[in-house]
Amino acid sequence: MKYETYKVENNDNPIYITVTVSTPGIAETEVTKYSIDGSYVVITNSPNATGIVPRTLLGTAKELIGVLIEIDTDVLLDHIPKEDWSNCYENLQIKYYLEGGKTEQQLPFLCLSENKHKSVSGKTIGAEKFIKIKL
Amino acid sequence: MKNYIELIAILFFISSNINAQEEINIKDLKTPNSPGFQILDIAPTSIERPTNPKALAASFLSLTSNGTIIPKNFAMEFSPYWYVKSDSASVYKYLSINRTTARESKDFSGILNKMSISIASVFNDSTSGSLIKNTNYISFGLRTNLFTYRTADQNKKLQECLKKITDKVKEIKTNDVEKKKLIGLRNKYDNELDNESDPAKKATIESKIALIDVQIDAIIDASPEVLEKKLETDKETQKNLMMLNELPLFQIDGAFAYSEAIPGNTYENKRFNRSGFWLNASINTFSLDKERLQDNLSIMGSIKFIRDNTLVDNSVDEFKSSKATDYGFKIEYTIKQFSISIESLKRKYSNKSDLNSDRTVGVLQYKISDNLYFTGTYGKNFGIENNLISLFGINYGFGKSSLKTE
Repeated sequence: MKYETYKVENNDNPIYITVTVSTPGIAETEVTKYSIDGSYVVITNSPNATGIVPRTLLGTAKELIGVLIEIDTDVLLDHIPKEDWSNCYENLQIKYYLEGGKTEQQLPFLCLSENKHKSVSGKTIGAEKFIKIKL
Repeated sequence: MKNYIELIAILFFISSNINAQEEINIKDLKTPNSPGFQILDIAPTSIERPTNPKALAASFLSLTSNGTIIPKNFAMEFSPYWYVKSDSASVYKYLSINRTTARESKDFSGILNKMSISIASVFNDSTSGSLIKNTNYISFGLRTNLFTYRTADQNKKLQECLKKITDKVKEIKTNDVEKKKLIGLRNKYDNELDNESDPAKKATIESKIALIDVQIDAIIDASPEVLEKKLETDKETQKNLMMLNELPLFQIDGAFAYSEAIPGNTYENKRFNRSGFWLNASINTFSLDKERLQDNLSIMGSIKFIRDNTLVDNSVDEFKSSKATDYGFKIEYTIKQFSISIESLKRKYSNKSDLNSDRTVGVLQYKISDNLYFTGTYGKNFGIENNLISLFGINYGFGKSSLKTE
């Protein structure tokens, strides 16, 4: 399990997340916050079948230090011809935007090929991204 | 334009040979009713119901070229949409559903997204319909969806289906407590590692993290398969996914095609053959029992404006350019894997009424399985000579192979 790092200052700046998804498939995204003590809470789910998560507050910078954010997107391709499933997998584009932390960070985080997985048939795609918030 | 067509033909042929060496699934060989075929009057149907284009559809009957660069009978159609990363693709755009409200949707967004490009090469060793004997025809075509209309009821129903499907996915994820507990534990150890200075304790924590990582990675790798299995056994989700196949009430497709004729496969003899622009409109109105039969009746109309190079003197092979208009209709009824249709078109030349003709064909298609189709077309084609059209075959159906009988 690999994660990327988003750096923040030790202050009360609000930290927001936005997830954009581009796919003709039916997409669902869930954002989960894992605290230092190992507990977790689901922050939000995408409000419709685009998988897009509109700008959502994660908390203040100070309280998020050491927190891990999981962004889990699933894409269903049942309504798309079978022969086009592999193109959908290749062209799936997800961008993860965080705001409120240190400037001069490389953003957005991108969904890399190592973040994508698919079922044996190729009809269902999963994309999992982990972002750790650090000082 | 002519040089572009030749270049595209050669590129397509080369890429098709590469693909052929890899793997060509039989389903990809289903006859494409592409503009490249339709301009030559050899497609099983001249009026096709608008659909989302596939990444690649191909028809290879005879890839042998007998020493010439151009293969005798082949056709390919592909959609650039599937090969380009878009920033704004969504299921709503793909299915032309209004995302924000339950009102009707009037969608003009398909022009680029639903565009397909086709190319075809056909060799005729006898005069048939509007094709002249011993001539190789090459054509290039473009097709796209210009307008799609769904009613407010359709929009509302499809929005609800999508919501129920995503709610089910969300429910399955929320219940995946094991993964979340492991990730939480992993994060706890990760933070302990950051605060630990004792190398021995650090090593212990690192080994714990490594063990958890293996478990988390295994769960994540398997999660699409697990989700798929759970959804496949959920009747409600399957019903909602099926509902997404409902056709829009009204659609208009536009197409353009250009073709050249190369008599005797001799490059120096090439000449313009025919070009055309046409519109197909489809109304999908009627269903006996959509849920049980998955049936639909479509009524389609077509108008095609053609510039044709017609033979005026057989003895010296003199051709003269003329304008023609095709117009007609098609009625198609589909029920599950079976579809039956009849189409009727008239062709009127502006200055040569003796060339006026019509086309009336019946088309049957049965999807035997995901990989196997049976197609049959029978009727009268355009033209005066040898105008019987009789195409029967499995998965592919044009050309001069055993599939075609005259």
